Amino acid sequence: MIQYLIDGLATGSLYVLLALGFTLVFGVMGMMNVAHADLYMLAVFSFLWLGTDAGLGTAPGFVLGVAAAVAAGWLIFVVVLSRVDKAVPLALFVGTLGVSYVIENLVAKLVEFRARSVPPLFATTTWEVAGLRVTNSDVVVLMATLAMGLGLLAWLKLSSTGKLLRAVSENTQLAEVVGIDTGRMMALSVVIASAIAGLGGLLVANKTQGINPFVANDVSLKMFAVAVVAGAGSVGGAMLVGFALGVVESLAVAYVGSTWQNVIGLLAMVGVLLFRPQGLFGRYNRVG
Amino acid sequence: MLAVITPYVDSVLVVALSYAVITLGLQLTLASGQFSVAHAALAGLGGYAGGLASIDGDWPFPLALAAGAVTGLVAGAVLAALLARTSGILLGTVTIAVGQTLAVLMRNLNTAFGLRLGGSQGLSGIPTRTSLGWAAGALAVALAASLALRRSGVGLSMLAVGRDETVARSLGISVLATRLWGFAGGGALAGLGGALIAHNNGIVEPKDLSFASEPLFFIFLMIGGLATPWGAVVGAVGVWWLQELLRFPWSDDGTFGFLDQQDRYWILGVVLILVVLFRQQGAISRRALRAPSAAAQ
Repeated sequence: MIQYLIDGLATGSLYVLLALGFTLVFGVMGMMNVAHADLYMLAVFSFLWLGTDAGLGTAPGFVLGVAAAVAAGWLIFVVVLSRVDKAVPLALFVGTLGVSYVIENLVAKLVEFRARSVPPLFATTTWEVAGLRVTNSDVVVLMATLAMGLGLLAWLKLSSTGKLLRAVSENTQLAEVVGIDTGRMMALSVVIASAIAGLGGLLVANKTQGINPFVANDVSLKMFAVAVVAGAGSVGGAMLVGFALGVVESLAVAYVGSTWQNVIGLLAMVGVLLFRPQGLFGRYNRVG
Repeated sequence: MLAVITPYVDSVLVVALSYAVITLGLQLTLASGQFSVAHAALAGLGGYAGGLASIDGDWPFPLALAAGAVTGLVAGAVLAALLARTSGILLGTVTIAVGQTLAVLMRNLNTAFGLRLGGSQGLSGIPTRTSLGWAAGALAVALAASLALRRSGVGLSMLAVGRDETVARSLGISVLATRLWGFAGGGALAGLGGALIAHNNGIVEPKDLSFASEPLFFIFLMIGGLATPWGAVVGAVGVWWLQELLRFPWSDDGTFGFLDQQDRYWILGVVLILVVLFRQQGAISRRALRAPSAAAQ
């Protein structure tokens, strides 16, 4: 039972890391970036190409992998997100969908449509504590997720830049009126989100030891689900819900069977939107 | 003229026209101001219903198509009623979830009400009855219905709700009723198109309902233009044709410079980005309803 809990928390870390960035950008820009989960995949492949294939080594490869995710995120912001008309959700959806098509299929072409195994970042050891198996990569992912999530929360709450970011998230027009450079804040949110996605992707790939170009197709839906159940824009909520989803999925596989594993998050999303459309931790947006 | 329609052209056109029917359904729902990403699922349900009507019921083809349309209509209406409290981009996201859940449900259902559904294998053995004539006929009916609906009172309230939900509500237009029309009508057309596709392929699979099948219709509609039903038709036929061209590049060794047929997906991605950035209204746009003239301001 506790073993499933531990496994679930490790899986939940990935959902948390992706949903954190996704929901941050959603809050600040009011946009959903369908290609967000592709940044995670891109970071891992960049790590493989530069760190392993080009022989730069693990540590430089790791840094360059995160840098690649940030660069791609920034490029998506400059080329698509900052130019698309926000009032047309369809244009946003289709535009970032196009970005996702381009990233996935170009990467897939480069690796000839095959999944690759990922070499471990550090030697893996398994600890046995009171009959429970815990690997050090699990612990690293979990710690890093907590550190990034809580760090982001604290930064948003306490730092002056974080306050500006929250102001833009709450009301972009008013923020602009009081002289906040909203464009810069939006770019900043995208860069932070991309860095978290890249970092998280590398740590999770270190655990799963494999990556394929179309991994985002599976992960994206859960990322949406976590962000929506938590309430779009709620960073702390995304953390709680992401971990919870990981644990529930893990328990479901153990006690119900793996068939319904991938639907739990989606059903939770439908259920929450039925009774609390703004999400569990979301603010209620009054229309008009 | 008819000599141009070789068997190959015929087979491509049948699929393109059937997809155009589904895209018309998507256009109808979006035109009512409802952002729905579940039309692949609605079409898939229509495919299952139409297929079962043909296999188990041995119904005549038009009735099997109607079964698909009715199933899509009911599913669309239920979806609209269920999600009455959500709107905008959240509605889009949650319809993704519903579609995906339906796909998983069909994967795990081998039989329902004593009818064979095939589980993860999909419903196979559907008689292939969709000819170019049937597809064109169904598209004509769907297009006529879409155009007629636009001219009706319901169509006008859809335009109003699509433009601004708050203003529409303040004018006494029921947003919920309009949404029901949009989802039910769009679902009916999607179900009809799904039944056509099912009777063309001879099989419906659970993955046809999933999120992965969804982008196709958005691509058609975005490139064709989402303001009018004509855009849906032009987009579906045009893009499907373009895709076929990219599948068989014209050089002798089957490649086109460095491009091969896997490349069409990212090329499609680039086209999408360009359309969104530079011509958001798509190929076919429409004039705004009585745009304020410069003199009046």
